[in-house]
Amino acid sequence: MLSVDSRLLINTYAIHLTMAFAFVVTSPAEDFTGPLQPFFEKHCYECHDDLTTKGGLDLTSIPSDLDDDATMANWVRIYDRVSKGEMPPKDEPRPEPGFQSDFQKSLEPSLIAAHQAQKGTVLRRLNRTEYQNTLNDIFGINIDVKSLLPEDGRSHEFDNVGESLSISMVQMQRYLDAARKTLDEAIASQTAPDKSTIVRASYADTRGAEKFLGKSWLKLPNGAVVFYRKLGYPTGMLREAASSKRGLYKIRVTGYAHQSDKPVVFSVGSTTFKRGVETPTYGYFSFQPGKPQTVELTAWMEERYMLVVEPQGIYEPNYLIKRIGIENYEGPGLAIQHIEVEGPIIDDFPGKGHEMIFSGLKRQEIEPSNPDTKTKSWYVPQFEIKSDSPRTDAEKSLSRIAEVAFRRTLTPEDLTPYLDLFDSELARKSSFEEALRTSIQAILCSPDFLYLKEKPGRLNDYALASRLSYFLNRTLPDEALLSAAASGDLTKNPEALRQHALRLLKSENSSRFINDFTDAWLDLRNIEFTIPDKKLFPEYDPYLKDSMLTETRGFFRELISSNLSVVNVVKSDFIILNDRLAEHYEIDGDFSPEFKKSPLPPCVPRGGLISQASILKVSANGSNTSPVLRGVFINERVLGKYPAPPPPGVSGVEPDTRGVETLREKLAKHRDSENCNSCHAMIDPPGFALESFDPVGTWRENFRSLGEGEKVEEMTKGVRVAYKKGLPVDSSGEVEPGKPFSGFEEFQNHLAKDPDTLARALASKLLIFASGREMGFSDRIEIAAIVENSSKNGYGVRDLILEVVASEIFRNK
Amino acid sequence: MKTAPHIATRRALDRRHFLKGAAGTALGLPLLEAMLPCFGRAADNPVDSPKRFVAMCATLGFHTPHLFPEKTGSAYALTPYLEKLKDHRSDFTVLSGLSHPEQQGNSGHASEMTWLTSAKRPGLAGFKNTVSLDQVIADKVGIETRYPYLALSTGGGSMSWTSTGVEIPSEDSPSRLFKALFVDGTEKEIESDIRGLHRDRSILDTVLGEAKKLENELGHRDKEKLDEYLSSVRDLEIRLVQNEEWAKKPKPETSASEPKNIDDRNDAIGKQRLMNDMIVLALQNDSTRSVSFRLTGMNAVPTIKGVGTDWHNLSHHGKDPAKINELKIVEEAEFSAFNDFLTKLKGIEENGKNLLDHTSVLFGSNLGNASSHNWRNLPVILAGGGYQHGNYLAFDEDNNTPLSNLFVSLAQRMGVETDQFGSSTSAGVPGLKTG
Repeated sequence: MLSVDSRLLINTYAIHLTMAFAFVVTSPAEDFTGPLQPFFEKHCYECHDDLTTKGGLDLTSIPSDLDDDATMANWVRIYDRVSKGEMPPKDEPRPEPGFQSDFQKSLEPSLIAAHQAQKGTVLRRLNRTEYQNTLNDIFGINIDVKSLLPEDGRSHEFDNVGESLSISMVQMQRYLDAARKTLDEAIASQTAPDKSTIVRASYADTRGAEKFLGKSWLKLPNGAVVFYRKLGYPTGMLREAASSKRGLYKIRVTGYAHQSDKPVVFSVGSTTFKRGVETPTYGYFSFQPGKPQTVELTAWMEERYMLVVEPQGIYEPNYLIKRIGIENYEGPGLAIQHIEVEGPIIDDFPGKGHEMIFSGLKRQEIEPSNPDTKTKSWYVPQFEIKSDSPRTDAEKSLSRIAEVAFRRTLTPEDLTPYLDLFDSELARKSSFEEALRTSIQAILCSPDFLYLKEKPGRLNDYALASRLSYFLNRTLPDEALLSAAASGDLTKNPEALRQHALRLLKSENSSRFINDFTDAWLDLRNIEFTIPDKKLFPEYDPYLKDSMLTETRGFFRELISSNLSVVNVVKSDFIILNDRLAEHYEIDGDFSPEFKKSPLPPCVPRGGLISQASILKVSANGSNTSPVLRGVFINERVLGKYPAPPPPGVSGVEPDTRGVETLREKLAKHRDSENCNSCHAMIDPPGFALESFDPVGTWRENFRSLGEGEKVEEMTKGVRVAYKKGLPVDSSGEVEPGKPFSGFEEFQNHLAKDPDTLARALASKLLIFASGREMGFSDRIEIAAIVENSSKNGYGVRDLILEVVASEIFRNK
Repeated sequence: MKTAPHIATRRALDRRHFLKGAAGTALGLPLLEAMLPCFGRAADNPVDSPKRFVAMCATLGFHTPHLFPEKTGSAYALTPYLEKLKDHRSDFTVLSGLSHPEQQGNSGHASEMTWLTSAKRPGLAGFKNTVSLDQVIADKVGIETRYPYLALSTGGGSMSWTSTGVEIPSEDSPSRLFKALFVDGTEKEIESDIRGLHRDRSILDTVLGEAKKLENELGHRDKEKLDEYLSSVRDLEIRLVQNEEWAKKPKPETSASEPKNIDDRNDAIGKQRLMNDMIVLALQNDSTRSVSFRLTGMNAVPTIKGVGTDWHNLSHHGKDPAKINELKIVEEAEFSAFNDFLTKLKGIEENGKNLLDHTSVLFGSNLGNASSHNWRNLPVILAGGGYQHGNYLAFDEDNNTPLSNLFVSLAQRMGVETDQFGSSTSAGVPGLKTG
């Protein structure tokens, strides 16, 4: 099995490569393998010929067609292993010094040329997130069209790589449907906005309250109702505090901390009787003891959703309430007096999309023959558009939409097919509005809308505007970017491009970048992929899960906004925490549901992204951790090293949670051969270091076990834990031969000493995400330059993003 | 629905040929007779019953020590899971030692994408999925039925992939499926549907023209992407023409009534059973001949008596006997549901035989050992379809036989003229014969 860094080169090689590149001829030799033969014969064939194909490699018959992806990857692997001195292996005779560089020089030009010939971003379709953002932003609406579309293809962790984004007949059908749904939402079906109302409701008066009062809920003389813990039933749903239509609502919760000298935390969310749909949590808040307080938030609510308010982090021990009666219980509770729901809040009627479609057209309500019907509740107004010159009128509307949708200026020919479609629909007896809608639908299904069109070579201003906007805001370019594009500023003036990047990073939509990028890079999108075993990890709850995500996204945002060093990915002197995580990480202090930045206390084994619970959770499954999988995670995502997959015929070691043997011990037994160890020496160490953290990110000295082990006298959430104290954790290892670590903190220190590797890895991820293509051999030179520049400025993450934007890779197809 | 015996001797004329000739002026042209698909030969055709194909994949795997027998051949002793199928012992074959090569992907579950396709390295750089077996079959026989294929699931995801490697979204609502199969709209609704179809086709004509203009602007690799776009538009145009013809035809009558969807989203087995019933109805009425059904695993506790741990977690049992026992309850329930499905197919007489004889049913998983995300040694059961059954065929567990070899046989059985599928190395697997 080969251990390979197939995409990135350590810095010295990159510099060497730059020099080599300067004097090689650009066209590769007809057969580049010829000059390599002497080297192969002397150093390689002994293990890698047709008889002894170690690691599955036979150099005597290896294909040399570098246009083939797999062949190219093979040769890059060979190049890297020889360059780094990993091959021939340590116990074989060393090649003479000049021999190795001759080998590189013979191979480099071919690899560079082969990669350059095919590296441009392939015609990139908007992925479904970008598609949804774009439609919502064009029309000023907030609808889910993402779920109509099939999941996007992925390349490694990224779902916005052009090559992996395909399209099918079914998807085309869905685009037609999504465009229809968009127009239904954008076009006002009423003549006036819905009236905003205020509903005030309380748990004391809610329907069915009598079933719970005095049992699960306590009613106080002042009318407030107290919850002493979050219950499966009854939930904290308040059915009267509900939305009427979908839209924005102001939510006000009034209450206080009851029988408590500390604040009591609660969640606010909403739910519905409909099955199988999302039930969002809007946020976590706290009430102080004392006088009633009101928390106000603004949230998007779907139609007829009811609010849910539930306490977090308070539990009575051993189901005490049931035994002594709720009125006798003296522990802390959440007292809620009432909840108000105000909305829908509509400050823009009939709305941006409606205006864009109909502005300048005479669209009128068709008066019903009996005027009384207008007062009926079931009345739905019908509209008609009056026009003496329909094509000219339609053109006004369609040009507005096409210009925005195509993200560039229009030529007169651009509109012709859509106007022809409009005419032919009119000819088929469609109404003006139907015909217009049909043409808009066509615009929204056209290649100009669905694809980011980039011509080979340097991107033009509009393509660059789109690339930048989809990178940092995940949507179409705004007016400022488009006007910069129109003036030619983006391509001519590097400072202008940089300023726009900074502006987008500060804008509200940058949270989409933070979310989508960390979803992919750190696999946060899979945070709910497994639900931790309740017996083994009883501390896990939705509040913890939500806090995990907020921590990591907040941390990454902080690296950008304060331009902190990329070293913080592995080690930081600060943490961004709320009360739930502080408890989880066993950090004392004054924390609330609101996240805040504070110094990392001494002797706390946290700091950096890699010790965050989110990362530790997504790199494990619900019951156990594997040093191999976590090792691969850290190697690929943090260090930018891609271990080769296990050779054919080798299957993974099966995890065993019975507490008899740790996975590490099992692995050691399976690693008797040098063949395995040559690769796992690189893969496993990060996984060993992370063994100190369990699948939900809790620090551990011992594994938890449901089989063998000592009893544990501990309570979680008011109940004795069910797990036992299992085998001790061994989190020691060697980052490389001669560089041992005794545990996680020493491991962190090792990684922190090599900021170049961290910067190279992050820069590469950003470049893939920004450009929509994988990085390859010929990109190494520029990535090395980015790292070099980054090192001069303290490796700031914001600077790194700006370096990416300024790079040739970003500005070329 | 009764029609005169009718054998389709050639494919309906591709509408795209027509469009090519007419260079984009085809807007709203009347349909030529030759472009109409040949309409359903009913299932009660006395000459020849149509063959059908159903593939079901349980994405969280099966605990194979509870599935694979000790002994190969026909004299094997029943294992806990096969015990559930014992009534049909002579109607199915158990296969082990099969897998698709190189399924290491960007996640432990990446092989879900490729169970019916066999494309290598799912989700890694440069990965592009390939066409799934049910789609190859639908391409061959789909024109005969109202629905060329059904891609179904108990919730989310799909096993079906187009020839351009794109996932085909699945239907997870039995009630919606029932309506699509059997409930005719009002005259007004049909009329409005047809108007909608016309409008959609006009839109497609327009964007097709726009896409063609791009052809000259683009480089070689971009053109491949553009071609995907062009063919998805053209394929949809053809489909819309077919849809229109079917929209004018009444749907078959059934004595079954519209099902109520399962409200409990964790009732995985209820959902499996209800959708199974819809598949039986669809096959019985010849509404489709190619079905994929994804038995989607859950990160939640399935509503099954005796199960209290979330399913995905159970699948990562880490050899904990308590978990394996709980997992067994879940998986036995899946096998029981599958058993009832076979019973129903077998109970429907067709041309002196039964529907199961005319339906090849592939039942299995993309994981051989879910606890370690192992994608080798997949659990595979093949039922019906006129094969000689009753055996346990065990192939080398260290050096697996390509599952695609079996796929070739299944495709051939459905009339696809090929001796190759995906990563196949031969047509068929040794020991499996047709009757």
